[in-house]
Amino acid sequence: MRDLRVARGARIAVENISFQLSPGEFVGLLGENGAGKSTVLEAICGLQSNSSGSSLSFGRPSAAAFDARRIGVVWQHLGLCDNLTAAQNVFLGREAGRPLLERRRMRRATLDALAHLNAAEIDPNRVVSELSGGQRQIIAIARALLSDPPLILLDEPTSALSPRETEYVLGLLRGLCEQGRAVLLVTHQVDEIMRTADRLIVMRQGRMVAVSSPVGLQPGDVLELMSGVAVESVARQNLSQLSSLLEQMAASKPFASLPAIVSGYAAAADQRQLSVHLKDDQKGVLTLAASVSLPRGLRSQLGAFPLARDNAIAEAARTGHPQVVEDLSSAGGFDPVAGGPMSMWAVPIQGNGHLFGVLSGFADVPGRPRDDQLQLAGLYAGLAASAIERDDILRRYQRRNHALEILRELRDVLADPDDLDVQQGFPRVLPTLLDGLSARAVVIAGDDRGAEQLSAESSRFEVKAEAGDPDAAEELVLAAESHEWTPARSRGIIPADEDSLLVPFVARDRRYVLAARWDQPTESLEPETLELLEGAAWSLRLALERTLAEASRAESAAATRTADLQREFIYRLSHELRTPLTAIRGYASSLRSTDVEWDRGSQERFLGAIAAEASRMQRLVGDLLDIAAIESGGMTIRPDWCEVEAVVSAAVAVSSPDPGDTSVEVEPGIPTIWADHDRIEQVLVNLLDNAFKHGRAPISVRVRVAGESVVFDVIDSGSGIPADRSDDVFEPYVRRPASPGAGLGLAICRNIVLAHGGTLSAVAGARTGHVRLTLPLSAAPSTEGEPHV
Amino acid sequence: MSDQTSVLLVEDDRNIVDLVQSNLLIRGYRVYVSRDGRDVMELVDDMQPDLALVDLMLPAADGFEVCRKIREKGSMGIIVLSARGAETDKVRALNLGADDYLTKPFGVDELLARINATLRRSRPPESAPDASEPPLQIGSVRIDFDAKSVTRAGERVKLTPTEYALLAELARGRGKVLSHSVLLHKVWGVGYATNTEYVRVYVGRLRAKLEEPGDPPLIVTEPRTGYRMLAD
Repeated sequence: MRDLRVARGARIAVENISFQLSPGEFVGLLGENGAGKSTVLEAICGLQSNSSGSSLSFGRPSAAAFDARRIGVVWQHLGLCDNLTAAQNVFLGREAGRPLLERRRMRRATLDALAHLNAAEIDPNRVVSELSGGQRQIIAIARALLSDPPLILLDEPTSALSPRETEYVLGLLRGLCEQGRAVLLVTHQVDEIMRTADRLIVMRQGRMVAVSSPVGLQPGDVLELMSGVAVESVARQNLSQLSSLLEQMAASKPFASLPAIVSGYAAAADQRQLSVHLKDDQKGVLTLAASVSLPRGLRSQLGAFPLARDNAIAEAARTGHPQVVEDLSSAGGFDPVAGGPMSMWAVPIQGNGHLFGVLSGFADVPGRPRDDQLQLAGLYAGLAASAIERDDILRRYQRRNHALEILRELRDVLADPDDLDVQQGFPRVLPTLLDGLSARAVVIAGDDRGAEQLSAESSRFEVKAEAGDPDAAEELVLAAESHEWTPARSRGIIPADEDSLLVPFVARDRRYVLAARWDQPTESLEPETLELLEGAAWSLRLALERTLAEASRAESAAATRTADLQREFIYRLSHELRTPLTAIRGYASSLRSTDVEWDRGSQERFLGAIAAEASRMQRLVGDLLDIAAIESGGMTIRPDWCEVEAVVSAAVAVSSPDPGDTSVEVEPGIPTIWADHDRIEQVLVNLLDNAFKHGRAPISVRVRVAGESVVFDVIDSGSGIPADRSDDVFEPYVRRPASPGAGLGLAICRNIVLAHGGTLSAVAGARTGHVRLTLPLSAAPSTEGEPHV
Repeated sequence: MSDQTSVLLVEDDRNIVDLVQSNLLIRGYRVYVSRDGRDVMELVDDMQPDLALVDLMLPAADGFEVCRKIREKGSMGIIVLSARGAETDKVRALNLGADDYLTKPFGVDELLARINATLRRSRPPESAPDASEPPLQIGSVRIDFDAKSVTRAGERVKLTPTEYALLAELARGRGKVLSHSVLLHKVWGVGYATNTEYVRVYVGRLRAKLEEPGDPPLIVTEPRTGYRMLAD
């Protein structure tokens, strides 16, 4: 095939497709839906009239070369006639030249073909519309193989098959290759084709993006080529595998349970007494999984027995051949049961060389079962095998689904944007993980020594979180510490001992390890468990990386904000200091001017202003010293017993420009409190000043006892502090825009109040300015020394 | 317009207003005050003051913006009074058209000296000079010293008194390098010797008004020394 180009109207469907197929070669054509795979296939068959390029098969243009005998094609839509039987479909269009192909021979040939495909359970006389998707697929393949063509093209032949059927079909195709045929298989299922094909052609959006041997490629790489999107995570790979599994499940016939099959056989063969045993590979035991109409005495003998037991069922399991016991009283290895069965047969349930168990039938009369009965038993054993396989797939799927659920939950918890420190999320996710892994203990530990320790061979781990058996967790950490860290041994799952696994990883220049211990040897763990463990470590790593990045971003943002505030504060402060200084210096130099004579009134005004500005500076300098003391942790309060009412009156007297502007209500009987009188007065003065400055008179001050506290409410008639700033205002350097002041007052107040064990806050939702101060009533004078802020 | 010199004070601090106002009134100035910066432009239009003293931190306006707007209106002197002493603030204010920049705290003598210096530049000389000075043509720029007017390619260029004073100094000494301190002394007055940014900013303003891209430069920078105007 050279330079194939197919146009659909103005759109180019595929372009620049060139490849060659050699006899005996198995080539996989991969691509996502709509990549143009089927179009290429159609072009090879000469079904695309508007194609250009030399599409050659066997050295001839394809349209001429296409010949049902030279190219066998299995279309995605199968091309079966729904109202014909399986056999008729296999021979559809091949009747030519075989006019005498009679129904019976056709049926036999079909049976042969199906047997070839290990699909003997399909009745050639069934109408195909009654067959399952998988069975229809097998009919279509049988039909393509009928003329033994040298080139076989298959369009998604395995999408409707179970994994085992898929493997079987691929094995079959592989075999056809080895006989010298060329196989071109179109699929979007990466895993299966990578195991089988000699060469992969990957298409994306109508173009070939890669031609490669599957050797050395990972499924993820191929998925990336197909989608054009990097497969960044284990999760994405898991999900794509899962979705392929789901597609297969949905395409195959609905799950038929084992008991239903057994009942079906009982009805079909008119055999009432049946049992199914399943083999437990680990314990080497056969266990009764389902039974129909067995007398109790026999059932109790059939419950569970070792594979080595000398009875017909174990024998069938050991040999893989049907066993018949004509007289149970003399043979078979079971104790006779009064009124129980006299004879039995046992047929192994096996698929693809693996023995799942044994299907057994019992009869009330001695002697051999009828041949057709035994054949039917073989057929149902096959059905049972596929049912068990499906069951297995379903369990596997459920386990995987469960694992994915846990991973998702893990990520949800760890991705909580409110939780800046992801390590706080660890204790919440580990129990889930413990449960999901069915482990005895799970622990996550980190080496906090940092980057320079990454090159060290040993680690000093600190437990970040653990779940399950604490002793086991401790041992796991010890095991992790004795693990040797080399770059090659710092990823993937590492066995610590026979029942423990470690997954070391590095996040932000720190070593971490996720470790788990089970009650069983790790060799017997399901692959899903291992995937979950590795996936969980991956999630933890991502979460750590993410939050560390976020933490450093938040830190730098906070630092920037602080720096901005401080710069603004310096500006503000220089203004606040220079303004009174300007007045002082200006008035002073005015008074000293020799060129003018000031009248007495001016002189007094100047001197008064100098005094006022000097005290304004003094207050500001006092505030600065306070805030410096707070920031260095050196602010002291000197508490003593003090009268609440006296403190309030003093504050109101100092701060109210007009005594009528402030109303004071103090609840009678408030006990004296243990506080620094001057400092509390400073706070109240500040609050009142703010109320006058930013709010509006009249101001009301209410004091009452609530519980163990004295509550001071300072309420003005203004519009209040905006809700979104109600916490901000207590931060240093934060001030109302375009208002005087250095923005220190409330920050100092809050620190004074906190030092008294009280609270200071803006009352949320207040329509007017409302600040509440609470001080503890019974602060014991035990802190009499020098309580520090 | 009366003979009294009028000063517009834009300042929010009560004491500084009182201080400046008292000192100017007692020395015979007429004083208008804007306390928040909102009514500055009305006062400029109505009272046509000779000089504005502008605080940069105002409750209802941005002092820089006030400077820019006043400068747009005309060539009256502008002195900034600010607690912000940073070089960037100074340069910004000068760029926006301020003639001088006084950092708080300042003494009254200093303020009065600067007011006088600025007024001296913006005022026509008390008496006409005895000998008239011939006009000067440098490239496409023509300076008429008697009329204190400047044209470029025949078109009138509006210069502030400070800009004109600097240009005139450079022109009279054309061909020679004039140091920063000489220019500062001659244009701004005594006590400005270290304010080299004033010269820098004002040379920039002159270049922007008088030089066209592609023309040979009118004023050449002599690194670390000063400036020189082309002889021709």
